[in-house]
Amino acid sequence: MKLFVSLMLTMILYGCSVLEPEQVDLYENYTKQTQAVKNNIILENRKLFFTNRYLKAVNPDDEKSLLLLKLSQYVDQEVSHYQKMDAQKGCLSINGIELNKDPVSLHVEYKKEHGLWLVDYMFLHLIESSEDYVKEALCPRDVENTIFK
Amino acid sequence: MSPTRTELRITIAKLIEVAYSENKGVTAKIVRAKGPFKLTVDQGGNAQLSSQLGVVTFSGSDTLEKIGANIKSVSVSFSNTDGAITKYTAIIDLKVAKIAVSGSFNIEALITSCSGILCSAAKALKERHHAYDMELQRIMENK
Repeated sequence: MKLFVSLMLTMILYGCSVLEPEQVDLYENYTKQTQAVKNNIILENRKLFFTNRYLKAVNPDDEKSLLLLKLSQYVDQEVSHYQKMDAQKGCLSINGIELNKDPVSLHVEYKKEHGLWLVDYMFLHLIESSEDYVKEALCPRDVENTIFK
Repeated sequence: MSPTRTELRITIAKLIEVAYSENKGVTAKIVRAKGPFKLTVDQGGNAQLSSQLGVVTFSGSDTLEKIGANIKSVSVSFSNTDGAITKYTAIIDLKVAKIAVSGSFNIEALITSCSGILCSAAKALKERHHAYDMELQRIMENK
């Protein structure tokens, strides 16, 4: 009986630890990524920042596809950022200003791969007014629903 | 070179212009009527302008070719609520990322902008025509 109870407790504790979201500072990842873009070393370091799935859409020999590695450059100045985590993914939303002073929001989804939290999907929202800045983290796949709600 | 929001807006205007040159009657009927209409372009460049009033199909390849991105598809939702100003939201799908841009424009200004020699010259050249682009920018940014 004691063995059964301790086994059950172990299973419950293990279950909780698996479901508990990992505490990661996604903004730190994002900052390193934007630095790599600014220093023009994102291409050779792409595997440190993007998932394999994401990189399948990037052809290093095709200038047009390199935009996918550089979407963060639309945010010239950052205004605010928010993040949320669950067990499977993390989402980071950045409110900012473009070089020409228009407001912009960038939403980034991260997934854990080979022990690293890497970019798996992005949504760049060229918003019309700073009143449209998000006030909480939105996952990129949910942004379209908020636009057309 | 990353496409700017102005370039994306001009691209939407050009797609409507191409639809208009393909079928003036149905395009004008769709865009002038109050209510929603939609513009889509798939990965093969097949474009479609549609509403309850009809459908115009055309090629969007040349227009999208000028954007500095590999585009999987484009979907633009328009809403003409008062018969004059049309609001739109475009979603550009880049397969693992999307770009959204919104705006509003005067549809009459757009469909009459492409009737002169300037537009013919721009089409004949099949490349960027600065004055024509500036005119489309003015219309699409409702200035």
